[in-house]
Amino acid sequence: MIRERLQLRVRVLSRGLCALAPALLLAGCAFLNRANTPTLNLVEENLWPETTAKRAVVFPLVFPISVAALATDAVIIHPISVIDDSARDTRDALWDDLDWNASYMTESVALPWRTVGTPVIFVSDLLLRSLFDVRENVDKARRREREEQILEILDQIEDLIDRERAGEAFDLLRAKEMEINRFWYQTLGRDEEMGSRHSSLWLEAAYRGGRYEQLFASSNPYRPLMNRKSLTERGLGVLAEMRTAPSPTVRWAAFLIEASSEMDPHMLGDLVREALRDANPVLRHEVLGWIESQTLWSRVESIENDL
Amino acid sequence: MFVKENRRFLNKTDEWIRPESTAAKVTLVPLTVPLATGVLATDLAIVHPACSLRPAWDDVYDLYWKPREMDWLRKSIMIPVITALTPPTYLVDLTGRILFPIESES
Repeated sequence: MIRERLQLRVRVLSRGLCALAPALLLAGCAFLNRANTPTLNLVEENLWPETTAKRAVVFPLVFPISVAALATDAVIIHPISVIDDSARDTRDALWDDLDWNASYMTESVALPWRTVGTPVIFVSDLLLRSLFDVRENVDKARRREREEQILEILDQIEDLIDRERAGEAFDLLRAKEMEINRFWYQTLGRDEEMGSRHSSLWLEAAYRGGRYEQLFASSNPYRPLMNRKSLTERGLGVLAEMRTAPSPTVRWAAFLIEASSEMDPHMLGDLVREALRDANPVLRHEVLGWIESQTLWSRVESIENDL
Repeated sequence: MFVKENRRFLNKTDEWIRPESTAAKVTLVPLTVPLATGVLATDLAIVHPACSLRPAWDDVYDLYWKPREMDWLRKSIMIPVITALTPPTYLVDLTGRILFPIESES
């Protein structure tokens, strides 16, 4: 009697587990995350009406299309979109930290194993990423979404500057600075192009909006650290304009940006000579002070090196 | 073998064979792959086990033969036991050291 009851319980438990296993697998499926179903999202945006009555009418048509869209996402679109991630994983696992100069023989031993392991790891990783909602995919989708938002803000700022409303562009930049910087830190400053565009827009908005002093004032917590290398073509054009601007403050700021990034001593010399020929005596005095501070710093550095 | 310190012979060949140019590195690969594999096998089968003999003995010595504060009677009782245990302990320790990256305390 007891044995029969026990067998029954085991049977019920095993059936429950069998039913639960696919459910658990399904829960982690890639297509359950909206970010992994772009075709289905497109169908939903364009073919799925707002009202319930219309939905009921179009349902017989939209349902098979949605199933086909989901299948396309699952079999084609999503696997293609994760190929680069799998390639990166394979590279990180097998082809990172190669040192053919110092350990030629050791790398030679590992070469056949790495070669054999590459397709195995790549295919396994691709399958895993295609079938399941790997956490990183979600993060990547969120990051892409965030990036698009930031690019939209930068487009808006650029548009304001182009419509000669640089003051408003400057205010918008100030208002959104925290948001942009947060994204920048979260992505560890990987998107250099976006960073350069951001710096250049700051410079242009401040210059054309007549807010230059405000931008570089020590009271501004978002005072950007700028140099020539962090500017786009457009930003470099603004910098060239600033060098010949009527305001000595703007010319001085342009000098600082140029001088802080110029590593070639001859070019730096030319830059300093040109600034010392400036019509404004206060600016010339500031340049002399700058030269003094640079000399002091190089002295400090040489002392540190000696130590 | 995944620990650099345990690939003594291979590390030596890394110091000896260092092609400068990329062309030389690529050209030599068909030769160096089997050669380096042979060197690694030598490390695995001969050099590393040979280098593990002494640390394995040190382990056994520390465990059984290190002088301890003990009276004569107890020492005389223990000696046959530890004598019997020494060879199997040594073999197990040596195998462990050959197969796994075990570091000596010294």
